[in-house]
Amino acid sequence: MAVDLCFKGTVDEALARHASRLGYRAIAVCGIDSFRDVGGLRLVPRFELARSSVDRYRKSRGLRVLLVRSRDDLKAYPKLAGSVDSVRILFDDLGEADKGFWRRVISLGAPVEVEFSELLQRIIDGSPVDYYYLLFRLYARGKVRIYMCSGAADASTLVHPTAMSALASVLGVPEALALKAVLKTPGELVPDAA
Amino acid sequence: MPLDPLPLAVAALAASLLSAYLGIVAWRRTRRAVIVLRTLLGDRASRPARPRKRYMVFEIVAISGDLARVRRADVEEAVKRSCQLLFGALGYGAARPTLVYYDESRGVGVLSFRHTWRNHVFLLLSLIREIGGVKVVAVPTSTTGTRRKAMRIAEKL
Repeated sequence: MAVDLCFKGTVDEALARHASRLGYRAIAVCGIDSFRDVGGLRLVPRFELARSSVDRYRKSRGLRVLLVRSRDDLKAYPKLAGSVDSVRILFDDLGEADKGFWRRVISLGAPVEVEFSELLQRIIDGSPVDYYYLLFRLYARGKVRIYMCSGAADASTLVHPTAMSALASVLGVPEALALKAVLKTPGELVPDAA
Repeated sequence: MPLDPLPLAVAALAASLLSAYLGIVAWRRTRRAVIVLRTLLGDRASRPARPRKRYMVFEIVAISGDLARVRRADVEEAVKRSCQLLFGALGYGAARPTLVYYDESRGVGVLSFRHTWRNHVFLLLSLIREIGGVKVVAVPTSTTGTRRKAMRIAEKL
């Protein structure tokens, strides 16, 4: 059973049934403060944090995702240890990422979030996906950890977990690692979701 | 004066171990040379495997609208359109996703494709969001190597 750590819509009974049918046991959503159960599906609170607000959520339970919009967001990264569960790199806002930036991402050790719908849309639009390729290469070499999430907003955009691992495989990640990024790593990040 | 048998035995053992080691080294070198030679000559064994067919059983789930309005021809068209959008004409020709069975009443279908394109087919199914005006999700159920097994699974769904 998989865990989707980035759902952007509202979860009702119908969506919970649909998600369970696709093989999800838990979904992380923004806008809730505590763990909940809806129609047999566990809802995990998701906090999207800017660098300035990390300290306020230090003791929050759920998934704390640091949004990296600039290279400065990862300055003094050792202070982030224990305060964030994962990192989401907003490549459009980031601009150019140099070696120093990637060194900080590697040294931080937190898994990097890859959103399926965003990546697929970039491919369809013909936008560059060079940083994703770099990220996947670092992942295949064991330098960083990644996990994939759907980024869905409703039932029609919620995808089967296999599709997410398939996308990573098609982009060059070995199949076993692609499956790990979808089925294992998200579950490890939110052990309370079991 | 009789010779001591122990040093002779030790020497014989050492000589046999050395010869075995040299034999293994020579065999490995020869094997590597043969592999390189075969690759250069384009030997049959080093060619890529013949593409085989795989059959994916999938289910069309209606999110909004009536599933009965989803026709087989519409599903075929959606699969073709998604494949060409993601992988182009070349990818479509290489993967050759073909709808071999579709039950319009239950929304269960079987899709055949080349075995090396399994992940691509998973991906293209995730792109199918609307068929014939009905909002749908295509859920892959299982993949098999024979059509008969796929049909058996599709009938049980």
